[in-house]
Amino acid sequence: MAGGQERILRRRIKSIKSTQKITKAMELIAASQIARAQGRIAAAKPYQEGMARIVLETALGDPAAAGRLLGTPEEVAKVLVLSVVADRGLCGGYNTNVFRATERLLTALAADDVETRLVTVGKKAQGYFRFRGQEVEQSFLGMSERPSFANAREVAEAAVTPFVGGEVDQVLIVSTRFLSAGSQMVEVRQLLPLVDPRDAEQKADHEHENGVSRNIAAHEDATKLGYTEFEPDAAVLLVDLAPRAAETQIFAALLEASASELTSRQRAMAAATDNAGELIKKYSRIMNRARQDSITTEIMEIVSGAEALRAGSEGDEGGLVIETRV
Amino acid sequence: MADDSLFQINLVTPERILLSGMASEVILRTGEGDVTFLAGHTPLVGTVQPGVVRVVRPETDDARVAVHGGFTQVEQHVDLDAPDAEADANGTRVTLLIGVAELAEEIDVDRARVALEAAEARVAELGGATNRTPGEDDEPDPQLVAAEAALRRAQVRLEAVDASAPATA
Repeated sequence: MAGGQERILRRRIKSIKSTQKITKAMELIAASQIARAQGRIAAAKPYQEGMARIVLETALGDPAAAGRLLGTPEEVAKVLVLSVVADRGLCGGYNTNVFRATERLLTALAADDVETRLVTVGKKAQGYFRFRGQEVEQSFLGMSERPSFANAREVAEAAVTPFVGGEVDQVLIVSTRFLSAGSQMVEVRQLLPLVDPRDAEQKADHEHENGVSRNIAAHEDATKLGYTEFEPDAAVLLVDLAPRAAETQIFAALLEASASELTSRQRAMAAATDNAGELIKKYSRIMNRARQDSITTEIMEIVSGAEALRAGSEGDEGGLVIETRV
Repeated sequence: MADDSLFQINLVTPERILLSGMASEVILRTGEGDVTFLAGHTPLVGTVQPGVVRVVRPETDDARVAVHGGFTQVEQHVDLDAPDAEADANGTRVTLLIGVAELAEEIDVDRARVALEAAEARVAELGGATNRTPGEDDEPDPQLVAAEAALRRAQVRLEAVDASAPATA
Protein backbone atom coordinates (compact mmCIF):
# COMPACT_ATOMS: atom_id res chain seq x y z
CA MET A 1 0.00 0.00 0.00
CA ALA A 2 2.70 2.40 1.01
CA GLY A 3 4.71 1.29 -2.03
CA GLY A 4 1.72 2.11 -4.21
CA GLN A 5 1.64 5.70 -3.04
CA GLU A 6 5.32 6.03 -3.69
CA ARG A 7 4.86 4.85 -7.26
CA ILE A 8 2.04 7.32 -7.83
CA LEU A 9 4.18 10.16 -6.56
CA ARG A 10 7.15 9.11 -8.66
CA ARG A 11 4.96 9.10 -11.76
CA ARG A 12 3.59 12.51 -10.94
CA ILE A 13 7.05 13.98 -10.44
CA LYS A 14 8.14 12.58 -13.77
CA SER A 15 5.14 14.16 -15.45
CA ILE A 16 5.81 17.54 -13.84
CA LYS A 17 9.44 17.33 -14.93
CA SER A 18 8.48 16.84 -18.55
CA THR A 19 5.97 19.69 -18.34
CA GLN A 20 8.71 21.83 -16.86
CA LYS A 21 10.95 21.03 -19.81
CA ILE A 22 8.22 22.18 -22.17
CA THR A 23 7.49 25.41 -20.32
CA LYS A 24 11.21 26.12 -20.08
CA ALA A 25 11.57 25.63 -23.83
CA MET A 26 8.57 27.88 -24.52
CA GLU A 27 10.01 30.53 -22.24
CA LEU A 28 13.33 30.47 -24.09
CA ILE A 29 11.66 30.56 -27.50
CA ALA A 30 9.50 33.51 -26.51
CA ALA A 31 12.50 35.31 -25.04
CA SER A 32 14.50 34.88 -28.23
CA GLN A 33 11.63 36.20 -30.34
CA ILE A 34 10.99 39.28 -28.23
CA ALA A 35 14.18 40.95 -29.42
CA ARG A 36 13.21 40.36 -33.03
CA ALA A 37 9.69 41.65 -32.45
CA GLN A 38 11.09 44.78 -30.81
CA GLY A 39 13.42 45.22 -33.76
CA ARG A 40 10.48 45.09 -36.13
CA ILE A 41 8.61 47.71 -34.12
CA ALA A 42 11.64 49.97 -34.38
CA ALA A 43 12.06 49.28 -38.10
CA ALA A 44 8.44 50.23 -38.77
CA LYS A 45 8.72 53.56 -36.95
CA PRO A 46 10.15 55.69 -39.79
CA TYR A 47 7.23 54.80 -42.06
CA GLN A 48 4.70 55.60 -39.36
CA GLU A 49 6.36 58.89 -38.59
CA GLY A 50 6.53 59.78 -42.26
CA MET A 51 2.87 58.93 -42.65
CA ALA A 52 1.97 61.02 -39.62
CA ARG A 53 3.88 63.97 -41.08
CA ILE A 54 2.14 63.70 -44.44
CA VAL A 55 -1.28 63.44 -42.83
CA LEU A 56 -0.52 66.45 -40.66
CA GLU A 57 0.76 68.47 -43.59
CA THR A 58 -2.28 67.61 -45.66
CA ALA A 59 -4.69 68.27 -42.84
CA LEU A 60 -3.14 71.66 -42.22
CA GLY A 61 -3.08 72.37 -45.92
CA ASP A 62 -6.84 72.19 -46.27
CA PRO A 63 -8.58 72.11 -42.90
CA ALA A 64 -11.98 72.20 -44.53
CA ALA A 65 -11.27 69.09 -46.57
CA ALA A 66 -10.67 66.93 -43.53
CA GLY A 67 -14.41 66.31 -43.19
CA ARG A 68 -15.27 62.96 -41.78
CA LEU A 69 -11.76 61.60 -42.21
CA LEU A 70 -10.25 63.48 -39.32
CA GLY A 71 -11.13 64.23 -35.75
CA THR A 72 -13.84 62.80 -33.59
CA PRO A 73 -17.19 62.17 -35.26
CA GLU A 74 -20.03 64.12 -33.70
CA GLU A 75 -22.70 61.56 -34.20
CA VAL A 76 -21.84 57.92 -33.94
CA ALA A 77 -24.51 55.42 -34.91
CA LYS A 78 -22.42 52.54 -36.15
CA VAL A 79 -19.01 51.46 -34.96
CA LEU A 80 -16.63 48.79 -36.12
CA VAL A 81 -14.46 47.34 -33.38
CA LEU A 82 -11.20 45.62 -34.20
CA SER A 83 -9.93 43.40 -31.41
CA VAL A 84 -6.38 42.06 -31.56
CA VAL A 85 -5.34 38.99 -29.57
CA ALA A 86 -3.08 35.96 -29.98
CA ASP A 87 -3.54 32.76 -31.93
CA ARG A 88 -2.34 30.71 -29.01
CA GLY A 89 -2.89 30.70 -25.29
CA LEU A 90 -0.30 30.03 -22.62
CA CYS A 91 0.50 33.68 -22.33
CA GLY A 92 -0.95 34.62 -18.97
CA GLY A 93 -3.61 37.29 -18.93
CA TYR A 94 -2.72 38.67 -22.36
CA ASN A 95 -5.81 37.46 -24.22
CA THR A 96 -8.18 37.85 -21.30
CA ASN A 97 -7.24 41.47 -20.79
CA VAL A 98 -8.08 42.33 -24.37
CA PHE A 99 -11.33 40.34 -24.23
CA ARG A 100 -12.39 42.13 -21.11
CA ALA A 101 -11.64 45.54 -22.60
CA THR A 102 -13.47 44.59 -25.79
CA GLU A 103 -16.55 43.40 -23.94
CA ARG A 104 -16.60 46.49 -21.79
CA LEU A 105 -16.41 48.62 -24.91
CA LEU A 106 -19.15 46.68 -26.67
CA THR A 107 -21.40 46.92 -23.62
CA ALA A 108 -20.78 50.65 -23.32
CA LEU A 109 -21.53 51.18 -26.99
CA ALA A 110 -24.67 49.07 -26.80
CA ALA A 111 -25.84 51.14 -23.85
CA ASP A 112 -25.54 54.22 -26.04
CA ASP A 113 -27.63 52.56 -28.74
CA VAL A 114 -24.68 52.29 -31.04
CA GLU A 115 -24.70 49.49 -33.53
CA THR A 116 -21.45 47.52 -33.41
CA ARG A 117 -19.61 45.22 -35.74
CA LEU A 118 -16.70 43.13 -34.59
CA VAL A 119 -13.60 42.12 -36.51
CA THR A 120 -10.92 40.14 -34.71
CA VAL A 121 -7.32 39.10 -35.16
CA GLY A 122 -6.18 35.92 -33.42
CA LYS A 123 -7.59 32.44 -33.14
CA LYS A 124 -8.40 32.84 -29.46
CA ALA A 125 -10.84 35.65 -30.17
CA GLN A 126 -12.79 33.49 -32.59
CA GLY A 127 -13.46 30.86 -29.95
CA TYR A 128 -14.09 33.32 -27.15
CA PHE A 129 -16.68 35.42 -28.91
CA ARG A 130 -18.40 32.51 -30.56
CA PHE A 131 -18.84 30.84 -27.17
CA ARG A 132 -20.47 34.01 -25.83
CA GLY A 133 -22.78 34.36 -28.77
CA GLN A 134 -21.14 37.58 -29.92
CA GLU A 135 -21.19 37.76 -33.65
CA VAL A 136 -17.80 38.16 -35.29
CA GLU A 137 -17.93 39.60 -38.75
CA GLN A 138 -14.51 38.46 -39.80
CA SER A 139 -11.57 36.96 -37.98
CA PHE A 140 -7.97 36.71 -39.06
CA LEU A 141 -5.78 33.80 -38.06
CA GLY A 142 -2.14 32.90 -38.30
CA MET A 143 -0.66 36.37 -38.09
CA SER A 144 -0.48 37.18 -34.41
CA GLU A 145 3.08 36.06 -33.80
CA ARG A 146 4.82 37.48 -36.85
CA PRO A 147 2.58 39.98 -38.57
CA SER A 148 3.74 41.18 -41.98
CA PHE A 149 2.61 44.33 -43.69
CA ALA A 150 0.61 42.17 -46.10
CA ASN A 151 -1.31 40.85 -43.07
CA ALA A 152 -1.98 44.42 -41.95
CA ARG A 153 -3.35 45.17 -45.43
CA GLU A 154 -5.77 42.24 -45.20
CA VAL A 155 -7.00 43.41 -41.82
CA ALA A 156 -7.23 46.99 -43.03
CA GLU A 157 -9.28 45.84 -45.98
CA ALA A 158 -11.88 44.44 -43.58
CA ALA A 159 -11.78 47.29 -41.08
CA VAL A 160 -11.37 50.30 -43.34
CA THR A 161 -13.62 49.46 -46.28
CA PRO A 162 -16.88 49.79 -44.27
CA PHE A 163 -15.74 53.21 -43.08
CA VAL A 164 -14.76 54.44 -46.52
CA GLY A 165 -18.05 53.14 -47.87
CA GLY A 166 -19.92 55.05 -45.18
CA GLU A 167 -21.30 51.92 -43.51
CA VAL A 168 -19.78 52.80 -40.14
CA ASP A 169 -18.99 56.15 -38.55
CA GLN A 170 -16.03 55.12 -36.50
CA VAL A 171 -13.45 52.34 -36.34
CA LEU A 172 -11.98 51.52 -32.94
CA ILE A 173 -9.12 49.17 -32.20
CA VAL A 174 -8.60 47.27 -28.97
CA SER A 175 -5.06 46.01 -28.69
CA THR A 176 -2.11 45.74 -26.38
CA ARG A 177 0.44 48.53 -26.52
CA PHE A 178 4.03 47.53 -26.01
CA LEU A 179 5.38 50.31 -23.84
CA SER A 180 8.52 48.49 -22.82
CA ALA A 181 9.69 44.97 -22.12
CA GLY A 182 8.37 45.40 -18.61
CA SER A 183 5.09 47.10 -19.30
CA GLN A 184 2.28 46.54 -21.75
CA MET A 185 -1.26 47.74 -21.54
CA VAL A 186 -4.54 47.24 -23.29
CA GLU A 187 -5.76 50.33 -25.03
CA VAL A 188 -8.81 51.35 -27.01
CA ARG A 189 -7.90 53.78 -29.75
CA GLN A 190 -9.72 55.45 -32.59
CA LEU A 191 -8.44 54.27 -35.93
CA LEU A 192 -10.83 56.10 -38.21
CA PRO A 193 -11.56 58.90 -38.58
CA LEU A 194 -7.86 59.54 -38.18
CA VAL A 195 -7.02 61.18 -34.91
CA ASP A 196 -6.59 64.81 -35.80
CA PRO A 197 -2.85 65.43 -35.71
CA ARG A 198 -3.55 68.91 -34.37
CA ASP A 199 -5.24 67.35 -31.33
CA ALA A 200 -2.61 64.68 -31.01
CA GLU A 201 0.12 67.27 -31.00
CA GLN A 202 -0.34 68.21 -27.38
CA LYS A 203 -0.17 64.59 -26.36
CA ALA A 204 2.77 64.01 -28.65
CA ASP A 205 5.06 65.85 -26.30
CA HIS A 206 4.94 63.21 -23.65
CA GLU A 207 4.03 60.24 -25.78
CA HIS A 208 6.77 60.45 -28.35
CA GLU A 209 10.42 61.27 -28.23
CA ASN A 210 11.36 64.89 -28.57
CA GLY A 211 12.39 64.47 -32.18
CA VAL A 212 8.90 63.83 -33.42
CA SER A 213 7.15 66.64 -31.63
CA ARG A 214 9.84 69.05 -32.67
CA ASN A 215 9.34 67.97 -36.27
CA ILE A 216 5.65 68.61 -36.00
CA ALA A 217 6.32 72.08 -34.72
CA ALA A 218 8.74 72.74 -37.57
CA HIS A 219 6.12 71.63 -40.03
CA GLU A 220 3.46 73.81 -38.67
CA ASP A 221 5.72 76.77 -39.36
CA ALA A 222 6.39 75.66 -42.89
CA THR A 223 2.72 75.27 -43.63
CA LYS A 224 1.81 78.57 -42.11
CA LEU A 225 3.86 80.10 -44.87
CA GLY A 226 1.29 78.46 -47.09
CA TYR A 227 3.45 77.36 -49.93
CA THR A 228 3.14 73.61 -49.74
CA GLU A 229 1.81 72.18 -52.98
CA PHE A 230 -0.57 69.29 -53.11
CA GLU A 231 -0.74 66.91 -56.01
CA PRO A 232 -3.61 66.19 -56.31
CA ASP A 233 -5.58 68.60 -54.07
CA ALA A 234 -5.32 68.12 -50.35
CA ALA A 235 -8.94 66.99 -50.17
CA VAL A 236 -8.45 64.33 -52.83
CA LEU A 237 -5.15 63.32 -51.36
CA LEU A 238 -6.65 62.86 -47.93
CA VAL A 239 -9.14 60.36 -49.31
CA ASP A 240 -6.23 58.29 -50.62
CA LEU A 241 -4.21 58.88 -47.53
CA ALA A 242 -6.71 57.92 -44.84
CA PRO A 243 -6.91 54.19 -45.62
CA ARG A 244 -3.13 53.99 -45.98
CA ALA A 245 -2.63 55.77 -42.67
CA ALA A 246 -5.13 53.45 -40.99
CA GLU A 247 -3.31 50.50 -42.50
CA THR A 248 -0.05 51.81 -41.09
CA GLN A 249 -1.60 52.11 -37.66
CA ILE A 250 -3.02 48.61 -37.86
CA PHE A 251 0.42 47.33 -38.77
CA ALA A 252 1.92 49.15 -35.80
CA ALA A 253 -0.79 47.74 -33.53
CA LEU A 254 -0.15 44.20 -34.82
CA LEU A 255 3.56 44.54 -34.26
CA GLU A 256 3.11 45.87 -30.76
CA ALA A 257 0.57 43.17 -29.99
CA SER A 258 2.96 40.45 -31.14
CA ALA A 259 5.76 41.80 -28.96
CA SER A 260 3.35 42.02 -26.02
CA GLU A 261 2.13 38.50 -26.65
CA LEU A 262 5.67 37.14 -26.62
CA THR A 263 6.54 39.06 -23.48
CA SER A 264 3.42 37.78 -21.72
CA ARG A 265 4.19 34.27 -22.85
CA GLN A 266 7.74 34.48 -21.62
CA ARG A 267 6.59 35.74 -18.27
CA ALA A 268 3.82 33.15 -17.96
CA MET A 269 6.14 30.34 -18.92
CA ALA A 270 8.85 31.51 -16.53
CA ALA A 271 6.25 31.44 -13.75
CA ALA A 272 5.09 27.99 -14.84
CA THR A 273 8.65 26.70 -14.85
CA ASP A 274 9.21 28.06 -11.34
CA ASN A 275 5.98 26.57 -10.17
CA ALA A 276 6.89 23.19 -11.62
CA GLY A 277 10.15 23.38 -9.68
CA GLU A 278 8.22 24.04 -6.48
CA LEU A 279 5.89 21.13 -7.13
CA ILE A 280 8.78 18.80 -7.82
CA LYS A 281 10.38 19.82 -4.55
CA LYS A 282 7.15 19.33 -2.63
CA TYR A 283 6.32 15.95 -4.14
CA SER A 284 9.90 14.74 -3.75
CA ARG A 285 9.63 15.44 -0.05
CA ILE A 286 6.34 13.60 0.26
CA MET A 287 7.72 10.73 -1.75
CA ASN A 288 10.88 10.47 0.34
CA ARG A 289 8.81 10.43 3.48
CA ALA A 290 6.57 7.74 2.04
CA ARG A 291 9.59 5.66 1.13
CA GLN A 292 11.11 6.11 4.57
CA ASP A 293 7.78 5.15 6.13
CA SER A 294 7.61 1.97 4.12
CA ILE A 295 11.19 1.08 5.08
CA THR A 296 10.40 1.68 8.73
CA THR A 297 7.30 -0.44 8.47
CA GLU A 298 9.27 -3.23 6.86
CA ILE A 299 11.88 -3.13 9.60
CA MET A 300 9.11 -3.20 12.18
CA GLU A 301 7.64 -6.24 10.51
CA ILE A 302 10.95 -8.06 10.43
CA VAL A 303 11.71 -7.21 14.05
CA SER A 304 8.32 -8.29 15.25
CA GLY A 305 8.63 -11.46 13.17
CA ALA A 306 12.00 -12.18 14.81
CA GLU A 307 10.55 -11.46 18.22
CA ALA A 308 7.81 -13.94 17.52
CA LEU A 309 10.36 -16.55 16.40
CA ARG A 310 12.41 -16.02 19.55
CA ALA A 311 9.35 -16.44 21.66
CA GLY A 312 8.78 -19.80 19.92
CA SER A 313 12.33 -21.32 20.26
CA GLU A 314 14.24 -20.09 23.36
CA GLY A 315 17.56 -21.63 22.19
CA ASP A 316 19.52 -19.08 20.12
CA GLU A 317 18.14 -15.54 20.08
CA GLY A 318 20.82 -12.86 19.85
CA GLY A 319 21.86 -13.29 16.19
CA LEU A 320 18.70 -12.19 14.47
CA VAL A 321 18.04 -9.18 16.66
CA ILE A 322 21.52 -7.79 16.18
CA GLU A 323 21.29 -8.26 12.44
CA THR A 324 18.08 -6.30 12.03
CA ARG A 325 19.40 -3.45 14.10
CA VAL A 326 22.32 -2.78 11.80
CA MET B 1 29.16 73.28 -45.50
CA ALA B 2 27.46 70.63 -47.57
CA ASP B 3 27.01 70.85 -51.31
CA ASP B 4 24.04 73.06 -52.11
CA SER B 5 22.82 70.78 -54.83
CA LEU B 6 22.37 67.85 -52.50
CA PHE B 7 19.44 66.96 -50.32
CA GLN B 8 18.30 64.25 -47.99
CA ILE B 9 16.31 61.37 -49.47
CA ASN B 10 14.52 58.69 -47.48
CA LEU B 11 12.71 55.89 -49.22
CA VAL B 12 10.76 54.10 -46.54
CA THR B 13 8.65 50.96 -46.62
CA PRO B 14 6.49 49.81 -43.70
CA GLU B 15 9.03 47.21 -42.69
CA ARG B 16 12.30 49.07 -43.14
CA ILE B 17 14.13 52.06 -44.56
CA LEU B 18 15.00 50.93 -48.05
CA LEU B 19 17.20 53.82 -49.01
CA SER B 20 18.50 56.78 -47.10
CA GLY B 21 21.19 59.28 -47.91
CA MET B 22 22.08 62.33 -49.94
CA ALA B 23 21.03 62.75 -53.54
CA SER B 24 21.24 65.38 -56.22
CA GLU B 25 18.12 64.32 -58.14
CA VAL B 26 15.16 62.09 -57.58
CA ILE B 27 13.00 61.18 -60.55
CA LEU B 28 9.61 59.60 -60.02
CA ARG B 29 6.10 59.49 -61.33
CA THR B 30 3.42 61.26 -59.31
CA GLY B 31 -0.29 61.26 -59.90
CA GLU B 32 0.16 64.37 -62.03
CA GLY B 33 3.04 63.14 -64.16
CA ASP B 34 6.76 62.60 -64.01
CA VAL B 35 8.72 64.92 -61.79
CA THR B 36 12.32 65.48 -60.84
CA PHE B 37 13.07 66.76 -57.39
CA LEU B 38 16.15 68.89 -57.00
CA ALA B 39 17.50 70.54 -53.89
CA GLY B 40 15.33 73.47 -52.86
CA HIS B 41 12.15 72.10 -54.42
CA THR B 42 8.92 73.66 -53.19
CA PRO B 43 7.34 71.79 -50.28
CA LEU B 44 4.98 69.27 -51.76
CA VAL B 45 2.78 66.37 -50.81
CA GLY B 46 1.70 64.01 -53.53
CA THR B 47 1.01 60.48 -54.60
CA VAL B 48 3.55 58.15 -56.16
CA GLN B 49 2.39 56.00 -59.04
CA PRO B 50 3.72 52.50 -59.66
CA GLY B 51 6.91 52.82 -61.63
CA VAL B 52 10.63 53.23 -61.30
CA VAL B 53 12.11 55.79 -58.96
CA ARG B 54 15.59 56.88 -59.90
CA VAL B 55 17.81 58.44 -57.27
CA VAL B 56 20.88 60.24 -58.61
CA ARG B 57 23.59 60.14 -55.99
CA PRO B 58 26.81 62.15 -55.93
CA GLU B 59 29.36 59.44 -55.34
CA THR B 60 27.73 56.11 -56.05
CA ASP B 61 25.75 54.90 -59.05
CA ASP B 62 22.13 55.85 -59.48
CA ALA B 63 19.78 53.80 -57.42
CA ARG B 64 16.77 52.39 -59.18
CA VAL B 65 13.81 51.25 -57.15
CA ALA B 66 10.66 49.54 -58.34
CA VAL B 67 7.77 51.06 -56.42
CA HIS B 68 4.18 49.95 -56.32
CA GLY B 69 2.40 53.06 -55.23
CA GLY B 70 2.68 55.35 -52.24
CA PHE B 71 3.14 58.95 -51.20
CA THR B 72 5.87 61.51 -51.30
CA GLN B 73 6.60 64.58 -49.29
CA VAL B 74 9.14 67.32 -49.95
CA GLU B 75 10.00 69.46 -46.96
CA GLN B 76 12.05 72.60 -46.63
CA HIS B 77 13.93 73.97 -43.68
CA VAL B 78 13.82 70.69 -41.90
CA ASP B 79 14.91 70.99 -38.33
CA LEU B 80 18.49 69.91 -38.63
CA ASP B 81 18.70 68.81 -35.04
CA ALA B 82 16.05 66.21 -35.69
CA PRO B 83 17.65 62.82 -35.14
CA ASP B 84 16.81 61.41 -38.55
CA ALA B 85 17.97 64.34 -40.67
CA GLU B 86 21.57 64.42 -41.75
CA ALA B 87 23.26 67.77 -41.56
CA ASP B 88 22.36 69.50 -44.76
CA ALA B 89 22.89 73.04 -45.97
CA ASN B 90 19.49 73.89 -47.37
CA GLY B 91 17.41 71.47 -45.34
CA THR B 92 15.48 69.90 -48.18
CA ARG B 93 14.21 66.49 -47.34
CA VAL B 94 12.36 64.19 -49.70
CA THR B 95 10.44 61.34 -48.14
CA LEU B 96 8.90 58.55 -50.18
CA LEU B 97 6.48 56.32 -48.35
CA ILE B 98 5.99 53.22 -50.42
CA GLY B 99 3.88 50.24 -49.42
CA VAL B 100 5.85 47.82 -51.55
CA ALA B 101 9.23 48.71 -53.04
CA GLU B 102 12.25 46.78 -54.24
CA LEU B 103 15.77 47.87 -55.03
CA ALA B 104 16.68 46.96 -58.59
CA GLU B 105 19.63 44.88 -57.45
CA GLU B 106 17.39 42.84 -55.17
CA ILE B 107 14.93 41.89 -57.88
CA ASP B 108 15.01 38.32 -59.11
CA VAL B 109 14.81 38.82 -62.87
CA ASP B 110 13.85 35.26 -63.71
CA ARG B 111 11.08 35.26 -61.18
CA ALA B 112 9.84 38.62 -62.40
CA ARG B 113 9.78 37.30 -66.00
CA VAL B 114 7.80 34.25 -64.96
CA ALA B 115 5.42 36.47 -63.01
CA LEU B 116 5.03 38.76 -66.01
CA GLU B 117 4.12 35.87 -68.30
CA ALA B 118 1.71 34.46 -65.76
CA ALA B 119 0.09 37.84 -65.26
CA GLU B 120 -0.19 38.45 -69.00
CA ALA B 121 -1.81 35.08 -69.48
CA ARG B 122 -4.21 35.76 -66.64
CA VAL B 123 -5.23 39.16 -67.97
CA ALA B 124 -5.74 37.71 -71.45
CA GLU B 125 -7.79 34.88 -70.00
CA LEU B 126 -10.04 37.28 -68.13
CA GLY B 127 -10.43 39.35 -71.28
CA GLY B 128 -8.80 42.50 -69.98
CA ALA B 129 -8.70 45.26 -72.54
CA THR B 130 -5.27 46.87 -72.62
CA ASN B 131 -6.67 50.32 -73.28
CA ARG B 132 -9.06 50.25 -70.36
CA THR B 133 -9.22 53.59 -68.63
CA PRO B 134 -9.54 53.38 -64.89
CA GLY B 135 -12.79 54.58 -63.43
CA GLU B 136 -14.79 54.10 -66.61
CA ASP B 137 -15.76 50.55 -65.91
CA ASP B 138 -19.11 50.48 -64.22
CA GLU B 139 -18.33 47.17 -62.59
CA PRO B 140 -14.70 46.12 -62.66
CA ASP B 141 -14.10 42.44 -62.17
CA PRO B 142 -12.04 42.16 -58.96
CA GLN B 143 -10.09 39.24 -60.38
CA LEU B 144 -9.23 41.23 -63.44
CA VAL B 145 -8.20 44.19 -61.33
CA ALA B 146 -5.93 41.92 -59.29
CA ALA B 147 -4.46 40.36 -62.41
CA GLU B 148 -3.81 43.75 -63.96
CA ALA B 149 -2.17 44.92 -60.77
CA ALA B 150 0.07 41.85 -60.82
CA LEU B 151 0.91 42.55 -64.44
CA ARG B 152 1.82 46.13 -63.66
CA ARG B 153 3.98 45.03 -60.75
CA ALA B 154 5.86 42.59 -62.94
CA GLN B 155 6.34 45.22 -65.63
CA VAL B 156 7.62 47.76 -63.13
CA ARG B 157 10.06 45.24 -61.71
CA LEU B 158 11.49 44.38 -65.09
CA GLU B 159 11.62 48.02 -66.07
CA ALA B 160 13.70 48.76 -62.99
CA VAL B 161 16.08 45.91 -63.68
CA ASP B 162 16.44 46.23 -67.44
CA ALA B 163 17.62 49.79 -67.43
CA SER B 164 20.03 49.26 -64.60
CA ALA B 165 21.55 46.13 -66.13
CA PRO B 166 20.92 46.13 -69.88
CA ALA B 167 23.07 43.04 -70.34
CA THR B 168 20.38 40.83 -68.87
CA ALA B 169 17.81 41.85 -71.44
